[in-house]
Amino acid sequence: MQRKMDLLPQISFSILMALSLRPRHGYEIMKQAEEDSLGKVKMGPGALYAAIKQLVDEGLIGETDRDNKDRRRYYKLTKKGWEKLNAELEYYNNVVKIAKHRRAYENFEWNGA
Amino acid sequence: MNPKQRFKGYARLLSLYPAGYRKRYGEQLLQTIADMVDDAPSASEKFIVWLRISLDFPVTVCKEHFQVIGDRMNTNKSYNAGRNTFVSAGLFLLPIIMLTVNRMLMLSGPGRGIPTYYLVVASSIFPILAIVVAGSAMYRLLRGNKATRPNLRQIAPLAFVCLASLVFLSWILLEDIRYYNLTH
Repeated sequence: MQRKMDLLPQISFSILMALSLRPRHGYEIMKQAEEDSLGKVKMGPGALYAAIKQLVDEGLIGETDRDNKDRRRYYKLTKKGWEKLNAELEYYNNVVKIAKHRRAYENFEWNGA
Repeated sequence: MNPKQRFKGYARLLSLYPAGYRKRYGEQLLQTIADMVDDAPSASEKFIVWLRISLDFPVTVCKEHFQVIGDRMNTNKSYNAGRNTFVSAGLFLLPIIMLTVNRMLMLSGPGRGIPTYYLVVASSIFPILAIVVAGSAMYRLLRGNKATRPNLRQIAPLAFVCLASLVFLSWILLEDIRYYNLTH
């Protein structure tokens, strides 16, 4: 039996996407998430750390070793986080494929009528 | 100057967050706000940043508190199950006690006590309620916490109350049929 996949909320997905390039601190994550979504995902600091807390608790991201000079804390994807991100991307990829196929089919029907 | 000294007002407002969240992310939150404000080039952009922060603040404070309440309810599952076991057992035993007392009253002399048939019918609601309470508690124990295995020590008494209530209900039904056959 195929296991049910729980999709991540938009903010959590954006954070994983932002961390897929390199470890980042809070503000960098916010900026990258905004850039990746073409300005559609805008989160405040409270929402950002609420999502980070959940992702850390689920073991999808973790803190990097701290540099004492820098007050900021950097986060990176864990192995489980990479797996989750890949699974989510595969899911969205399939959704896009289905949508494209459906649209092509519907256009064919419409043209044939 | 560190962000805590820079944004004293916001640092005080952080106390509205649940303690766990505040201790873990309070400093990082302030640092992120400092980064956001520093990155805004003009006064109008800084205003937009603060607007964003002030809109985000009440929403996330409420969300975090709800999260804490939810977590607390999940960890207190054993207490709830214990209370539900007690309530359902009480609901099951109440009509039995009522019937026993009534029978003793009837035996003590003529004209005392309520006719048993009416009392039996009236008390049938209690085992139904006992089944609902015990059944819902069992459902919560079996489905609620997927991470841990169901606790059999908590489920067993609830299952017993459910079963006993079902037997009692069946007996009431049989009494009904017997009474119907006698009168018709």
